[in-house]
Amino acid sequence: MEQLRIETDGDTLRVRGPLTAETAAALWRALEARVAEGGDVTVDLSGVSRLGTAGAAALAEGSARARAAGGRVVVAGPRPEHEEVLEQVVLPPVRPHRRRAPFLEHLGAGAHGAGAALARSLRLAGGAAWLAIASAWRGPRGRFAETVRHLVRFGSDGAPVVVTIALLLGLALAFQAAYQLRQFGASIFVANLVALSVLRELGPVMTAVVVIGRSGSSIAAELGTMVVREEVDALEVMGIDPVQYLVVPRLYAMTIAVPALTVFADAAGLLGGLLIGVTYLDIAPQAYLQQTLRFVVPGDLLIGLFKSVLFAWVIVFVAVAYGLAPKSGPDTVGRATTASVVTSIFLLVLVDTTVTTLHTIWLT
Amino acid sequence: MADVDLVAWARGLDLAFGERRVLRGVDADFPRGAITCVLGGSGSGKTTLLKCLVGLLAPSAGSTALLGLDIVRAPAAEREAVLRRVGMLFQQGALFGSMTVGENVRLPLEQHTRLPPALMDRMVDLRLAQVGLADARDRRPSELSGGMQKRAALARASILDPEVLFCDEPSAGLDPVVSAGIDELLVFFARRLHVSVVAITHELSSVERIADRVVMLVGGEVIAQGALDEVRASPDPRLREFFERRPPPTERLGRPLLDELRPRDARR
Repeated sequence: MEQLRIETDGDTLRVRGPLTAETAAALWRALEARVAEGGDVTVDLSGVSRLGTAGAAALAEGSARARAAGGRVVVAGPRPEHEEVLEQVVLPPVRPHRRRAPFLEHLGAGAHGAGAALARSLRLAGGAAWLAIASAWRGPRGRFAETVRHLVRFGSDGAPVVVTIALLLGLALAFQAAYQLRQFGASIFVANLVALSVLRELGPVMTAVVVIGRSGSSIAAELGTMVVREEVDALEVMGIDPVQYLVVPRLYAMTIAVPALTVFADAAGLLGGLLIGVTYLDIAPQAYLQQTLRFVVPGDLLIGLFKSVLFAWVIVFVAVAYGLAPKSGPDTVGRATTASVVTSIFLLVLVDTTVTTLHTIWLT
Repeated sequence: MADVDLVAWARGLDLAFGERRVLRGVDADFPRGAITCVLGGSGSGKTTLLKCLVGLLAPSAGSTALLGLDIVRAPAAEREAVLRRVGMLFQQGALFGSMTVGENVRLPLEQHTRLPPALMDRMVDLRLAQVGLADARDRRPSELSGGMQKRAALARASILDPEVLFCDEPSAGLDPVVSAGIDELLVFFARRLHVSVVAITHELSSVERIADRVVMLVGGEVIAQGALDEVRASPDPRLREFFERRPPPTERLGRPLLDELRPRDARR
């Protein structure tokens, strides 16, 4: 490649070679120091083979700085094609380039965005709940197949991972408990502890967390992409309510899928406990099962399933609210998806704590 | 003009995104049975005007009507009832990526009619053949070229023979032959199926083929509207530039760098 050479001769910089994006930095370095001192600088362009935008920008920036310091940059010996390039470049009134918003502003905007999303989420929840009841009444027009499709995606496709995680958690929980309880000769109570924890808390919560990661995020991203591609606008112009068309099938599917998965998770968690009881604590399987059945009441299962329905609604409404929020491009889809996952996990824990607290107060 | 003759109108329409005013006091009429072309350069507010007319954007001031209904303020049920009689072709097509082309075109039929399925299938095939996409019915939109997507979107927008068909640049980015085909189709819709067409375009050749009436937007303002021949005869320099395909003189925001860099004696 042809090299750029700069010779200095008093106040004159003699430039030879191409003055393009690859080489303009050298000219700029030579100019920068000189113009700051406020003297006049002449740039001799007669040896320049090609003058590109970067070269012109170096001259423009040098000229502006020289003016500020009381000097000037002038060119000597420009060829006609150089003159044409310099004629096209205009020096606009100085306007600083915009930088990114500072941290605090970013933080404030984020909080504002989360508030707006929550408000939108509540409004959507109201509308969708109404439509869900209404369409159960009238029959969802051609949306039955769609509901089933979502049910498979949210539910059956997620079952293996939910069951595996619940089984492993059941194992870990039983191990921890067994180690402590064995010291008191109370090993059999591992069954009580595992059953209660799994049915009331771990089953529903772990299931919901997995569903948030698998399906909540996918709803937010899918709807977000539809917003960007104007597909949601297209629905509206067709006179099809996007909430009815997009949200209601997902709401139905999620309301069925999360409790169903929770039942599987409960079973897997209990099985994990049983495995530890049999192998590590040498309890007979019948004894472990009897202990479990004697201790557990239907209410323990039901409170867990009640929670899982609430979790399902949290997941759908948060994902849909972030997904359907106005978007400007692909980057906003990514951000909305992240925000939807974080928000639903937070709300999930909030709802769980609230229900557990109320339930405990009611029991005592 | 009495409202009954208009499928859509706008009065004193203002719309701003933040500080940027995109529409400034737009008054525009779209008569029934005609093909009205909305003309203007990029960024002149054409798409924004269209989105206001169908109620996708709420104006900051002024009012609109679509088939006699104040679409922005009407309750949802009335709005949906009117929108069933309207079709819209989006600039990028906006086909549903999760469905095939055929399913996309079928969707308005499934949602808004109770036709027997066999008849719906027949209508889909017929309209896809009309736009030259008979072979693409079972493909996904992402497998189609940009021009094919646009034609598929036109098929979807027109499947119910709407009273009004809004088209955002129906022929932009298409090769001249396909573009002429789309224009012919729009004329067919208007003359034979009594569809009133509102089409955004900046292609003069297309305007000359299809327009009964034009609305010219510059910088968010309507500078002329009326029959094509009247507007074309106007002496307004901005219209002359458009119809004679002359670029306007480039706006210079500052002085050329060359003047700045010339030695003092050479400038004299």
